[in-house]
Amino acid sequence: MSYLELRGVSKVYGEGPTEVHALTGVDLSADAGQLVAVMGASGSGKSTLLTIAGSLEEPTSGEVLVGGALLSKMSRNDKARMRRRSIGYVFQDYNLLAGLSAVENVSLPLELDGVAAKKAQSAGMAVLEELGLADRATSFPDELSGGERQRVSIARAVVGERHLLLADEPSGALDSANGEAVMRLVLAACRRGVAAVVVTHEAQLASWADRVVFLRDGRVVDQTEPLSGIEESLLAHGPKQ
Amino acid sequence: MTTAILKHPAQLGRDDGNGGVPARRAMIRWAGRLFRREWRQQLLVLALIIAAVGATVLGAAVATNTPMATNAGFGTANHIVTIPGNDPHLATDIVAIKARFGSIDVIENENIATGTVNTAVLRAQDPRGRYGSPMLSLVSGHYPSGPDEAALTQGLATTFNVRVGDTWRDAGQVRRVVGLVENPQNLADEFALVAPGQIKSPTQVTVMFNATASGIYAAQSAGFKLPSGASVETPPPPTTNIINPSTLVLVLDTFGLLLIGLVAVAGFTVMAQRRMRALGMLGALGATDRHIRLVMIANGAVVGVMGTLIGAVLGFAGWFAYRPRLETSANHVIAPFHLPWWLIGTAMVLAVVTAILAARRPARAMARLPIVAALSGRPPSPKEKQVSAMRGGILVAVGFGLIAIAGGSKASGGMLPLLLGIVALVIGSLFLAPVAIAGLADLGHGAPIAMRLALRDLARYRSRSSTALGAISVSIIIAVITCVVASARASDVLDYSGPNLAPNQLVVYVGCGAGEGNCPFSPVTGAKARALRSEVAASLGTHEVLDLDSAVYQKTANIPTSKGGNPTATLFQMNTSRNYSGPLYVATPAMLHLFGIRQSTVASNADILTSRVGLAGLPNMQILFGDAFNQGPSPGCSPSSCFNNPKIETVSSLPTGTSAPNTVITEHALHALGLTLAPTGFLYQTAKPLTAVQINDARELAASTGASIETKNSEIGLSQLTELATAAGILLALGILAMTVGLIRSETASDLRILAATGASSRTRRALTGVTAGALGLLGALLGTAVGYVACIGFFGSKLGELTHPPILDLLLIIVGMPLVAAAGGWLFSGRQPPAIARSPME
Repeated sequence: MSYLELRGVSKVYGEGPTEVHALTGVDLSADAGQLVAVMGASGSGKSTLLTIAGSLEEPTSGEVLVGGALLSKMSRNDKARMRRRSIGYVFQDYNLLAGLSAVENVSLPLELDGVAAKKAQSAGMAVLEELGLADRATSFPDELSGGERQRVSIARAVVGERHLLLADEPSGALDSANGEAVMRLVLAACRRGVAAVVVTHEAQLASWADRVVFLRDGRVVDQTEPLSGIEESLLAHGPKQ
Repeated sequence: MTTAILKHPAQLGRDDGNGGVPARRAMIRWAGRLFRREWRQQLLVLALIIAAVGATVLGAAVATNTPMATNAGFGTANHIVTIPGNDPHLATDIVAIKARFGSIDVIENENIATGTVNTAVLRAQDPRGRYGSPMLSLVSGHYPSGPDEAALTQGLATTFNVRVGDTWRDAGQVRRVVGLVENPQNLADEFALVAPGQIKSPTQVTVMFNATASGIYAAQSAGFKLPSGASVETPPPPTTNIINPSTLVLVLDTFGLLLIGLVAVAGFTVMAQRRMRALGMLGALGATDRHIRLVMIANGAVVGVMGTLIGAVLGFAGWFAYRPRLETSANHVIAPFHLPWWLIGTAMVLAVVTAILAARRPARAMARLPIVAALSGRPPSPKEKQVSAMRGGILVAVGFGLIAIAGGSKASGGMLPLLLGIVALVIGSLFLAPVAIAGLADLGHGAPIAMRLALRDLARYRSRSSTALGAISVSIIIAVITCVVASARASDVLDYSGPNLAPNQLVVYVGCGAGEGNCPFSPVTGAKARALRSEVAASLGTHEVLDLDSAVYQKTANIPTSKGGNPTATLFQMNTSRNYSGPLYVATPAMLHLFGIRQSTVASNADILTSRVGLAGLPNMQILFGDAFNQGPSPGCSPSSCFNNPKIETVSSLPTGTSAPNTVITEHALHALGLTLAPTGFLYQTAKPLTAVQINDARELAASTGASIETKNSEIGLSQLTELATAAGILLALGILAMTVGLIRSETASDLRILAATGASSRTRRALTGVTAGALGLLGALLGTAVGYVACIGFFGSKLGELTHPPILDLLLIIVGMPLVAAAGGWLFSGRQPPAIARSPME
C-alpha cells in the first residue's frame, strides 16, 4: 500500500494574467520502503510537488493522502502533528536552526511533539551516533561543515518513527563524496521501511531510486525504474564517515 | 542505519496537539538562545525599555521623596504653639499649657546674624525631648550639655568656618563646638544647638504637645486662652488627591511605554523578518502556529525582562547616587529604601507586558505566513492599509477639546483632561500617519526614479512605515510641546525665569531696595558700605564694580524699607494685576558704560530699559512707587504713586540674569517722577568664572558688616530645557527611522538587485535609502509639530499671545535638520547592503 499518494494534483499560483500552473494533474505514489526520485528542469514543479506532498502547501485541486489520511480533511494543527511525527524534510540548504546544537536540532521534532527534552535528546543522540556524528552533537550549525550539516538535517528528518522522507536536492550543495554519503543515508532509511521522495537534477543519484519520475511544465511526462542491483552495491559501502 | 530510534512519540509525550510543556520549553529555550546571539539587533528596543524603567524608578523615587513629610516641623506631636519671645509671662504660659495638655516639649529659638541672606537661629532643645527628637539628629561629635557648648548644622559650621573642637563666637559669647547636628525633617533649618535653658532672651518659643480635637474644644470651653501673639498649628491631613507625584510618574511611564511599544513593534518585525526562514523551517518540522507565536513572544518577553532588570538596576543605582543631592535640595533626610514599591513594581510589569504585546503582532503575522513563503525568505506582498483620515481627525479634535478644557481649568483639576487629551492626540496622529504617507507618495509622480521608487515603497509598505511614522510623530510631539511651552514660559516677560546671574557675576546686598518685601537685615550705609565695596573688589581682583541703586519716592525716602513704608519702584500690568519679578535698578551712567550702552543710543524720553524681549510691547503697564502698594494698582493713578504707560525700550546689551539689572529705570523717569536713589548693593564682574574661594571670601567680608551676597544659582535655563527636549526627540526619531528604513529596504532588496542589474549605480541605491529616510523624517517632523502645536493652542486657549514667540531654532532643527540628518545618514550607510538584514539566521 502506498504511504504517499497524490491524485490529480494541480497547483496554480496567481490570478488572471499572472496565473502560473506549477502542477497539472499530477499522480504520484510512494510505497513504504520505496525511493522515488523526481527529476525535471528548473521551473518544472519539482519543489512544488514536494511541498504539497509534505502538507506545506495546499494543492489547488486534487487529493493528497499520507498514510491513508486525506490532507484536505486535516486541520492546520493535525497537519503540523503529522509533519512532526511522520514526515521528515531534507532541504538543499540544510535549514538547521542557528542557536540550537546539532543534537538539539535533531531532537526538536520530538520535543515539539511533547517528548521531554532529556528523552528527546537521547533519541537524537542515538541517531547522530548512527550517522557518525556523535562527537559533533554539541556543536552549533555554524561550527559544522556542509556535509556534516546535511547529515544532521537527515538525522532530524528520520528521528522518531518517520514513514515519509522528502528531500529537495539534498546533495545539491555538497561535493560528490558527501552527496553520495547523503544518498546512502536516504537509502538506508528506505531499507527500514520509510517511503522517500527525492528531488534531484543529478541523473547518477536518481539512478539509485526505485522509480524516477520526470516532470515537465508541471506534468508527469515519464516514469522509469533504474537497473536493479545498484542499491545493494551502494549500501554495501556503508555510510560514509 | 538499521533501526528507528524511538517508539511513536505520542506514546511518550502528551498528545494535546501542541506538544505540551516540553514543546513550549523547547521554543522558549530557542528564543533565549536567539536573544543571546542577536541582542545587538534589538539594542534600540532594549535601550528604550532600560531607559523607561530606569527613569521611572529614579523619577518615582525623586517624586515621592522630594515633598517634605506633612508632619515636618511637628516631630511626633500633633499640635504646636508658637509663642513670641517677648511674652512677659512666658514661663507661666508654658506651665499653663503643660497643665492643660500634659506632656510638652519646649524649643527656644533666638535669631543670629550669619552674613548671608539665609537666616539661622540659636536653638535650645532637649535631644531626648518627647516630641521634638525626630527633628534633631547628631551627625558627629556629641550634643551640647554645658553652658559653653554648642553643636552646629553643617551649613552654619561652613558659614562660620568652624569644625568640631573649635571655638565659635556669637554675639560676644564664646562656645566650644562639640558636634554637628541636623534637623532630618528640614535640612534647610540652619541652627546652633545649645543645651536647654541656655537662651536668655529667645525670639520665639515652640511648645509641642499631643491633643485631640475634643481636648482642644474642652480647653476652649473651660476658658483656656493662648498667650497674646501665640498661634497654634496642626499638621495638614495627608493628601487623598489622585493626582499626586506617584500617579503622575505612572501616567508618564505609561505614556512613554506606549511610545516604546510602537518602536518595539517595528523592532520585533525586523527580528521576525530576520528569522523568517528559521520560523518557516520550524513550521516544516511540525511546529504549530502557537509554537511559532511563542518563539516571537518569548523573545519579546526576554527583551522586556532583560530591559526591565537592567533598567531597574540602573534606576536604583542612580537613586542611591542621587539621594544625597536630593536630600540637600529637598531639605530633608530621605531613607534609601523609602520608595513607592507599588509604583516601581507596576512600572516593571508594564515594561515587560509592553514588550510582550509589541511582539504579539509580528508573531501573529509570522504564524500566518505560509511555510513555503517563509522558507524561501520571501515575505508576501504587503497589504494595503485602509486609509482613514476621519478617525484621526476626530481623535485630534477630541484631544484638542480635552486639552482646551484642561488649559481653562485650575492647575490640578485639569490634569485628567490634559492627559486624556494628549493620549487622544497621540492615537489620532497614529491614524493620520498612513494618510500622510499616501499623500506624500502622490507627490512623487514625475520625480527622478530613486525618489519615485522610495516614496512608492513607503506607500506600499504602509503597514510598517505608518507605525514608524506614528512613533516618530509621538517623539516629535513631546519635543515640540516641551519647546513651545518652555518658550511660552520664557516669553512671559513679567514672570521671568532662568539663571539669576552669570558665573562671573556677584552681587553684594547692602540694603533692601531690590524689591524685597521683608528685609532680613539692617542696611549697611555710609563709610561702612564704601569700605565693603572696595574690600570685596580687592578680594575678587576686579575693577568692574557697579553700584546698584533702586528708586524710591523722594517724599518718603527716609522711611526704612524694612518697615514697609517706602517700597522701591516696580512695574505692574494693569487689569491683569501681574507684577514684574526681579529688581528694577536705576540706569545710572556708570551702569550704561559697564554694559557698553552709549547714552546717545537710548531714547531721551525712555522710562525703562530692558533686555527682556517683549516687555516693551506689553499694554497697560505702570510704574508703581511710594504709597501705591497701599492703594493697589488702579487705572486712575495719582502722580505720587504711579505712572501709566511708561516708554519701555529694549536694549539687548543689558544682562539677562533674573537678579542682574536686566530691566532698569532711566534717570529721565527718576527725575520726572520725583524718585531718588536708594543704595541696594554692588555688582561685581570678573574676567573668569568665580571660584569657591573667591565666593567664600566675599561672603565673609559681607557677613562681617551685616551685608549678604548672591552668586549664580544652579537653575537650568529654559533654553537648555528646550535644547534637551529637541535633542532627545530628534535622537529617538532617528533611531526609529534607522530601524524602519532598514526594514523597508531589506524587504525591497530584490528591487535593488533588479536596479543593479539594469545598470543603476550605488548612487541610486544610496538615493533610495536617503529619500526613504528623509521623507519619513520630514513627514514625522511635520505631523508631530502640527499635532504638538494643536495641543499647545488648545492648552493656552485664551492666552494665545503667549505662543507668539515660537522656539524657531528648535522647530527648524526638527523640521529641517532632522530630515536632512536622516537623509544624509541613509545615503551614507546604504553604500553596502547590510548582510545582517539581507540574510536570515539559518545554517
